[in-house]
Amino acid sequence: MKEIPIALNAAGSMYVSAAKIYPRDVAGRFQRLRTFAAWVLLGLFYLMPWLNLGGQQALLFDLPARQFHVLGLHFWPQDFIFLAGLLVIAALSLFFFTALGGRLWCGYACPQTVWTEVFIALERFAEGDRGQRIKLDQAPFSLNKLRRKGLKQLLWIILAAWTGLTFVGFFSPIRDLGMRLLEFNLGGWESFWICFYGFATYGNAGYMREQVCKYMCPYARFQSAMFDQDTLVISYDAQRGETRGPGKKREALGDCIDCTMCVQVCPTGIDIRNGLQYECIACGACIDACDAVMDKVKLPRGLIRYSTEHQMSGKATRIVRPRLLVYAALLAMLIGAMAFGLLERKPLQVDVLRDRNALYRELSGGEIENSYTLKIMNKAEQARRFAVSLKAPAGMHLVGAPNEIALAARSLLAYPVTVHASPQNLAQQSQIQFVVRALDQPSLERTEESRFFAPEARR
Amino acid sequence: MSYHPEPHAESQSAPDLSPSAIRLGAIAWPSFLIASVATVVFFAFVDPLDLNQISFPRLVFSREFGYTIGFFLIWSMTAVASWLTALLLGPQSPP
Repeated sequence: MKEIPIALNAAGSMYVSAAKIYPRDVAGRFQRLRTFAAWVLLGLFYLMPWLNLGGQQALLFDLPARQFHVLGLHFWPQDFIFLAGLLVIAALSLFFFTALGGRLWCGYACPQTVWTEVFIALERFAEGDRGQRIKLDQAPFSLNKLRRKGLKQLLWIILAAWTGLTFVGFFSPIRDLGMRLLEFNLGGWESFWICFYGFATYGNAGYMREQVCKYMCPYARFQSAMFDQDTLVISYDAQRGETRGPGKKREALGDCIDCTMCVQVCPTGIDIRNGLQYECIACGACIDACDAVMDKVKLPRGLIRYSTEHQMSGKATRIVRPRLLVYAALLAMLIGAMAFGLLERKPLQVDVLRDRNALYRELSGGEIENSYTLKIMNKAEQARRFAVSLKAPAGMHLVGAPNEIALAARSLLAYPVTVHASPQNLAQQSQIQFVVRALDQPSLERTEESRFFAPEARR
Repeated sequence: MSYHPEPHAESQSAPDLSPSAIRLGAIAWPSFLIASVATVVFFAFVDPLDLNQISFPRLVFSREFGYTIGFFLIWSMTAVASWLTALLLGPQSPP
């Protein structure tokens, strides 16, 4: 068994600075899967904002206009419930996939790991493979070093800037943004956010890399709460592998030839043979490396593989288990509710705001007046006309509301109305309802409740 | 005893993150994530222009400015909370 050096530095401090990690390149099915996932996700990210649908950017969270366009659907801040639902669905999916297969999120979908992969690929292109990179870093300054490092920086900066532009393009129409960029006519805050996100990408994917996962990511620390003994995780089959050792005579040895390839390819620099560790981002590089070695020495694959704790300890394992079913049921319910809500979404929304300054006003003729503002929102793609009416106890009537209110397509109108009531038999507080109905489509109506206040009855 | 196993036989020992950098990251990054979510939730309800009206009506803001200021205000708050937690969990001075 190889000794793992436990280093104490000269000053006797417990802290040893972590060494820069040069992951060795590896090929195999998990790496192909990861590359595929990266292409899909990055493709979606970089191309999506350029996709137009009906003359409009298909995915645009138009912050300056406070309207959100998602594949032909339009949302307003009033549709907040859908955003909340989406966040809950995202969280539940994370639970589900973590319980099923460990850190699938980290290995395949997390922007941190995906962009790190791309930055490493560019680094490999500019500086060569692992051995060449190590040599280059150790070499004294030379023109070649400058050229290679310069090329890497150039590629990184271009990609980071492009990423920043794309990011802002999700929030501000990207074609317009691109045009104004070419004219050097970007707004101050747009430029700021492009630089901010670009710089964050450059720093996180170029330099911080796995340090973010190890030291900063909260998910890495609490994901263990979603694990159980039936979760598929990357495991080293110690029963089969030990006692590890190199050499041709294997009678007294297990299948692990201690080539340390699994350690060399690990982007977080751990030894999977020590068991699952929180640093592991489930990239599967060690599986691919070990499978290749096993093929070479003509031993069966799978010394390192996706397995469960139960399986590894020789017990029965059940992948489909109550925990997973509960997560799946909750997810299905929420997604169903969201879909239903979207289908049932009325293209008309009404909010009633009471006048904040006065509860009521007594008019000279003895009538009591309350004032309200109706916020009428026409979410439809066409202009519409609406009528407002009042449902209230006898003696109350709406004052000054016209027969119809015209609203342009996708627009909001704040409409002041007043209600008068005769003081006879008037309660101090009454429930009233405003009804807003579309004139061209009588089934489209909204009823909103409010209250009418009056002074204490005089005897 | 805390130890960092040497990741690779051939790796060079260029130091990358010191304990204070790790501490800084552990304060800045989670607070950044939470601030992002909080900003989204807050501004989904509140229009920065309305906020401008009830706070400094004499100054003219753009929405972009409002979002930006809002995000950094929230981030600074969450970062202060994280930093205080780090401070309290950190080593105490001897009595």
